[in-house]
Amino acid sequence: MSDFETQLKLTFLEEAQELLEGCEQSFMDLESDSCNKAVLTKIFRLAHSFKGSAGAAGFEDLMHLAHHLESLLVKLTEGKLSVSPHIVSLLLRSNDQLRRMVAELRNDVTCRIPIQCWIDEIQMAEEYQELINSTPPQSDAETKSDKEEQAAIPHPGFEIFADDAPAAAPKLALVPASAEKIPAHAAEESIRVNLRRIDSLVNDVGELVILQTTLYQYRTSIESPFIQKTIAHLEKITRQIQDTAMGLRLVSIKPTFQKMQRIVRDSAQALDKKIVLETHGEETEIDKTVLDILADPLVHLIRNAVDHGIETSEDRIAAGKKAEGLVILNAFNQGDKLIIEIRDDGKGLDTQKILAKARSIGLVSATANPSIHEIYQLIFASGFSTKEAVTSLSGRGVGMDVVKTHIEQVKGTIDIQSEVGKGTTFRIILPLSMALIDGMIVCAGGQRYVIPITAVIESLQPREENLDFVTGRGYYLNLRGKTLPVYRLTEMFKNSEGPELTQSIAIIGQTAHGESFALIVEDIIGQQQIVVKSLGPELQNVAGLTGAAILGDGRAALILDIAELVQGAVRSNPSAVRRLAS
Amino acid sequence: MIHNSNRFLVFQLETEMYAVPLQKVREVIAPTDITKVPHTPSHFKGVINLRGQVISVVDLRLKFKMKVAAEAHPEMAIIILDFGSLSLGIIVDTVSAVLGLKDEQISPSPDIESSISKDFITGIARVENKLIVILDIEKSLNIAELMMMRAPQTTAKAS
Repeated sequence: MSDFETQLKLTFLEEAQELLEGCEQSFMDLESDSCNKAVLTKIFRLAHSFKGSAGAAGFEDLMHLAHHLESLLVKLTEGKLSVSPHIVSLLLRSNDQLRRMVAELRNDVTCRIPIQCWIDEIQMAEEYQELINSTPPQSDAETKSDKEEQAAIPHPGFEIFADDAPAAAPKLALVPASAEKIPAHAAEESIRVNLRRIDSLVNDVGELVILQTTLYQYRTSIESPFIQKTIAHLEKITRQIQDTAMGLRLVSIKPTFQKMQRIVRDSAQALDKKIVLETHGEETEIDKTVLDILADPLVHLIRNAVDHGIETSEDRIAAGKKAEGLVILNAFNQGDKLIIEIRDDGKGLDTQKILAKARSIGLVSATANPSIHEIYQLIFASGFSTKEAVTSLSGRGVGMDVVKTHIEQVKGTIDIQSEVGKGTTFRIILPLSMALIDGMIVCAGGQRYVIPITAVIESLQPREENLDFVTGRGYYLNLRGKTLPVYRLTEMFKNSEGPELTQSIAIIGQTAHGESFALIVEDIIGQQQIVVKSLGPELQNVAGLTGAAILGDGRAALILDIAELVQGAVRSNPSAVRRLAS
Repeated sequence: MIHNSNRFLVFQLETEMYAVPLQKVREVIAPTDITKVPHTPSHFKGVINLRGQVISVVDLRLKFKMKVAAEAHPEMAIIILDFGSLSLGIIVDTVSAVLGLKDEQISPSPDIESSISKDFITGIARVENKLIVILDIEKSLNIAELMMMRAPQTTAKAS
């Protein structure tokens, strides 16, 4: 295959993915308003242009399938066929099939996927409906009943796909979709840019900001007022470029939310429940990488709400609720955080049941008496699932812990609020930007480290009278009446011993459990905005490190998660770590 | 004919000559400031800034359990290797040459005296009366293990 041909194919596949994602919402619209001519025409046009470009790019299988869909759609627009739930389901599944094919072709442009069973099914649906629609005098009665039978028994090939469909959906979300960037306002023009180029730009802008910061700091050492002024101007422009560059990675959360409509629809149908999904804050923007990582957890939480949260219609009516369950998906910004909520009006979490289960599998000892909040967090433990019968949708017990790990991977947290009989809310709290943080640069054991400002409550120089030594436990710092354990960074890193505590700086931070601590460093060098660089996969698992930063002099410095660092130290060997050499 | 896959970067560790496939080599740089990373094995020297990218560096002598760590000297170099999702630098004593080897010049690893385990060797070449050990660099660096590297704390936490 020539380079040109390959390029043509790849371009088409990228466009195709976008096209198919756009289609899905139209199909859903069609279901709620089956007489809507405009929607039908829109779908027809999409199918038509898909067929055309697939043919041009040389994807015959895609073209054929699209062709059959197109002819089905023609009949629908002309009113020869009526839009039944069966047809909508077929259209949605065909759309899924096309997406699967596109995704596979993106991995390997030469692969072939059998489509005959799909074409058969589409044709069958057409003929079946035609027979019903056409007036009785049909010559061959035998054919009719034969075909009815055929239509009633789903094609074996499609049976497999139908089972696969819900499971395949989240997998699709993982396909690198550089085509997903959709502007907040549809009317705005946009161009498609390779994600790698954006990353490279963001990276370079990061370097620029660092150099500019250094230049700005030393501008007073330059005599010429003209150059000083220029540096000040440059500072302003650099900030603007930085803001723009950081915005480039942001994508609207809307396509992800739209996918959830489909998931709720399919899952509810499979469980024979009536559920409406309401979405709010679709225009909220989120980092592309973060969104990719969150796609699976969101699907899982939504399925969970549908499967475990919302009761059956009978139970709901018995409880005096509306028969129709409600799931609300909401995204919004709050300060420097992005919040995604998944709320259902179902039965709420049964704390007794969760606790009993946790005790039975040994997560909690029989004597422990955890708080409500701690009980809720138990459902994120690996291997935990309270539903006795495992359904095909959820309840394999391998979901919630994965949800939590994914969220933690993007430095987010997840909270649960629940009220029995009223419903449950899962709240994912994410940092707005992972790429750029305000960092405090500290020095310990001859090396510089970066501590995110958000993790620092305060910093101070400890005074002799505020330090207490407890044998076997180490030093404690008395901070305005509160006693905080003291940790020395150099000792945790097994470097040299630092200077006297009173010659050092104590950084006050807080663990995830809300316990304050003092971390001793030798000095604070400064504060600056830093670009977070990820460490290689070989260092991903080292506790207490979140990444690295390139400092003004070009050296790499490690970014510390001081809460994680201290927490790890407590558990490994409290007496050894808390003991401080004096 | 010598294909690209038959070209090797030859370097020296102490007195021994080693080679890695040129395809795996991204570039060779002069020694630079290395930032130490806590809770890592001793052969893991730390991370460097390579034009904005943070890359981990391993001291190959220590990795191969040779007697002493490389002393800094002007000939020392860091070879940046590319393993797909992972880039890694290795510190070597001297980078000697790029060598094209025909298949028949490479013999399967015989029982030779070498500082390193036979598992890490894909073959031996004799060029101008010198033995060159061709490394299976992925295995020697234990890329799979590196991907799993964990701090002692994490293990303690899990238990």
